[in-house]
Amino acid sequence: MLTLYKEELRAVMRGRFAWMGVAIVLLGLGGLAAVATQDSWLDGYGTIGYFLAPVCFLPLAAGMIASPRANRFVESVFTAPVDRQDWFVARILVILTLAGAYYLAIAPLAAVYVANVGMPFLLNRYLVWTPGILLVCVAVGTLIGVLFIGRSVAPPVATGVGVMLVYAVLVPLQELLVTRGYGATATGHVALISPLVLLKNGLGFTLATSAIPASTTMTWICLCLIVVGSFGLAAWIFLRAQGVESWEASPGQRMVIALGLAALVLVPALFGDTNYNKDAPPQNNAPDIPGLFLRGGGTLALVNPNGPAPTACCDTLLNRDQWPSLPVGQATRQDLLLFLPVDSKQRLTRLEIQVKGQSGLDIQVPPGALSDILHNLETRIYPPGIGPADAAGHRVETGWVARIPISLIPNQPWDIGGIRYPIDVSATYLVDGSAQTNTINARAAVEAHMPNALAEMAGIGAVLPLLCFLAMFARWRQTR
Amino acid sequence: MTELALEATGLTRNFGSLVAVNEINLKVEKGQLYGFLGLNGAGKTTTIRMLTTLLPPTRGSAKLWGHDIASDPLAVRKLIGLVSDETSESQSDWTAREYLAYFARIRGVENVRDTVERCLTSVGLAERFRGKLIGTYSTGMKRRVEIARALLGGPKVLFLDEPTRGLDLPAKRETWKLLRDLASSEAVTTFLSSHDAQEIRTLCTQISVIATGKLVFTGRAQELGADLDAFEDRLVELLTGRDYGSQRRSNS
Repeated sequence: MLTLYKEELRAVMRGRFAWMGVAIVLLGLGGLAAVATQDSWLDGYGTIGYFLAPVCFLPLAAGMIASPRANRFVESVFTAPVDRQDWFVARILVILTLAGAYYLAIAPLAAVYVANVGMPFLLNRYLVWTPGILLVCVAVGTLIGVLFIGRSVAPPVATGVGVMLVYAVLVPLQELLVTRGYGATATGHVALISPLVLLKNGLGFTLATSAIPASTTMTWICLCLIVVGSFGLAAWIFLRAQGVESWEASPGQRMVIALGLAALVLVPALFGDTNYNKDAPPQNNAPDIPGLFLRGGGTLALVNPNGPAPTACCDTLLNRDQWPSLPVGQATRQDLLLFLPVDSKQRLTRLEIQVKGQSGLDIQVPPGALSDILHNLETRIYPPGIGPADAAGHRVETGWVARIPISLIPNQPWDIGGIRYPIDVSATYLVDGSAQTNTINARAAVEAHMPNALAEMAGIGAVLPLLCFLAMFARWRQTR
Repeated sequence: MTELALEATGLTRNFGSLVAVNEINLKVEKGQLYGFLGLNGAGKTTTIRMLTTLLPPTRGSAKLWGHDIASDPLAVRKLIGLVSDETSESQSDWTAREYLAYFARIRGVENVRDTVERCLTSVGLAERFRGKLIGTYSTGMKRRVEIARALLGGPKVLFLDEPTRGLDLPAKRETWKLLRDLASSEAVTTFLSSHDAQEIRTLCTQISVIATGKLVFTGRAQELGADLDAFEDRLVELLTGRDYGSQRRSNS
């Protein structure tokens, strides 16, 4: 069996486009991982690298099991002294080895991430979820591959793609249903057909929603049933109900196969845990920033030192339109503009401003900048009806703007890019002629990234694709 | 008493209600080049697939060098080599050397490299082609690779299922010469299945004719006719039930 395994493994990469295919997949993943360093790496690259790409092993496994029968290679194999059981096990081990190789191939990208920002909860769970996805996809793919005996590999691969899509699509559907409170409804149960959902529930994490099942016993039992059941049923069909290239099933065996397939679909849907009444752990240390996508009407803006105020104003995320975002661990000098709801015709007699960064954002204001701010106010002309409302409810047409020179130093990052830190600004002011002190509390955020992370991720992500391209070139030279 | 390489008794295979092979009995002596002749769909391939353990028989039994094909398939597989049409095409991204090395290793052949080169030499595949991809070979070269693969491990019985199908006349003649040489030099019992009467008559002394799953003739090839025309006339009578020879003679 070991010889068969080694020979089959060696044979896998002899395909005309095998090395090129691997290189392109890895290049795509590496490129995505590099690009995602400018944004939320775990949400962008993580979803594809640790969830969507591993699911593709389902049709791949179906095709790899079915193809030796489709192209009649088994006729040559099983007229040699090869035990069918040994060949079947060797073939599955080869697919599992490829799955393991995929997992190892994306490990350097995760290593760069962890080296920069440590191990967040979501990545910790991804690192367990992915091998689980690979295992379950190989199991189900193997079963699909065994079920199809024919001269074309298209039916098993197409079926594998269909099942893969169902499994993958049910993950966001389940998250949506749980968010809306429909996790335990009939549709919520249907979502448990996907072993990916079961595995996610069992590991106790979510991608977007905020609740997980309180109990996971049945979840794990259903998951084991799918993995062991798929491998077991596939082996039993291959060895007992089929010949080398023919169905030999008796009516009783056909009934067992039908019941087995039905059980793999129905048992998880009927018996999986759906008591979503436990809070999901946070994915990482990212702070909650409400209204992050709001545009317009803001009272804060962030501009380059002595730069003009933006014409269109303003986002909750103050540096959304700037690239690159703030580098973590380095001081960036900027001007924070506070748009006061006071018409410039009115004189301010008192203005006190406090600026505070949160979640590791250190904001330094030069000494004396705040104490002298009342004498350095600027004005801003608003389009009619757009300006902030003053204390009497009138829209300001030309208002006062306080320019605060600040240095932003983001620290304690929880992601490699798209790290968003809240900023709290509190201003107290007194208008001439008024006895009442007014207060403005404004909250916004800035985005930061790990400097050099893009280059590190791109560099490490290019190594394996380059090696694959070299291997492809070497094989072409060797066989041309 | 002559030793038998292959003996089949009442071998039958059904596909649902279709009886593809119906109670056939075969006796092939060791070292013989045995012809198995029939029209397309007559049951030749199904018979070979049963004898090579690829397809379980519905009824009946067969023994190859004393080993039962159903109860002892691994022992049977150690003794056989099968050449079916174009199976090497499935591995068109392999070189001939890789293809043969794969089978040499899973057969547990010692000194794989030398054995592979020897087998490729014995089928006459030029050395300059051995490291090139099988997909770039001509049909004749692919057939040579298949025969070389079947010869790995020194089989006692070589099954050839229409080995010259799709070959042009020169390639066909080369393959025939190769099969004759192998039969004489390697002393391999050869079971040759074909619908080509000329091929069977040229190569085989002992033949069986199968029509719609049943054996309609077993005996010496010469018994069917002294020359190729007479052989073919008698063969058509056996396969279709029509007296084609008398009709042709009266027409002429």
